[in-house]
Amino acid sequence: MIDRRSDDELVAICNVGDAIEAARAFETLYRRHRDFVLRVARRFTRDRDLALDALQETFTYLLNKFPPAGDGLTLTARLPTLLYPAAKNAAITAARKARRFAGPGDEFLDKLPAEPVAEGEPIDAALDALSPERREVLTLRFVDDLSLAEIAVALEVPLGTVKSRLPLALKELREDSRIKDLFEP
Amino acid sequence: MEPTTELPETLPPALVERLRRLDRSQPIVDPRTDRAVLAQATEFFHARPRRAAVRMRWALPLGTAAALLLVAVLMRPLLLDAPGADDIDGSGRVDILDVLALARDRAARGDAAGISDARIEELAYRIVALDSSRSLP
Repeated sequence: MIDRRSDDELVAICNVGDAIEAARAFETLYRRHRDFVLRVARRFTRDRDLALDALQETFTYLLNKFPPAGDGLTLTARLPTLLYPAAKNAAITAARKARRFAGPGDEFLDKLPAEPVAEGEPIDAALDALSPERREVLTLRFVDDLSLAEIAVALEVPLGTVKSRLPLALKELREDSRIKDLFEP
Repeated sequence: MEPTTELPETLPPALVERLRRLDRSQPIVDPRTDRAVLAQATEFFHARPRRAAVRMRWALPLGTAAALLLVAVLMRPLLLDAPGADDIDGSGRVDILDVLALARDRAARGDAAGISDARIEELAYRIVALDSSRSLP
């Protein structure tokens, strides 16, 4: 059965509910946002197992916001905007650890591109040409459907930065000769 | 938060589709991770009933103490204004006859009685105030 309670309601139960209620509310939050966190983690690790580690780490971080470990959580923005930086940091940390402990023969980890490029796909090549910052904003806007204000919260940058990065990313794509025809009406 | 629409944010559908496909192409759901996260949450939240039990252990004594305090506050006027001190004529109740008894005692013994005018007036005032609060038959 789908739990239709809002994230705010579930967070409130995690803050003060009894053990069973709180665990159920947390499970709903986990199932609701797990795929988003996994997607984010994969973007920064490009590895399934590392992404799963980051997923677990992200929800441990969320768990520790609630009593008795934390003071309690008050959502001032949508939960994904809180989870995004946690997932990103956990993913980057997991990827760094993997590189640090990479044994002989694992050098390929250092050579992983930011995103896989499919040869002969002009769209992929154009997207790959974007800087990581611009691509990140583009992905948050058009894949994760976050508003500009939410992106600013998720990236922990001023709204003005997002407002300048997104048009620059769009402009760069529009001016890319490989996909120019996509923008023509 | 509603999406901001201050900027013309348009991307060709083919590009959006490609972005989404790149990002969501491989679902990596893992039941073991699910179980690990949820088991951790269950264990975490079970730390709280103990705190609740501690609160419950103190709830009864604290509640009793609060009730006793409330009773003491409510009974205070009755306890402090017990008839003993003002029941001059020993009738078991404090009324205008006690004021008269007090006045007579002072008149008979003078200053030796140690009864001041203020004491007589204060008792009379209190009795009149009490009487006026009663409903008339």
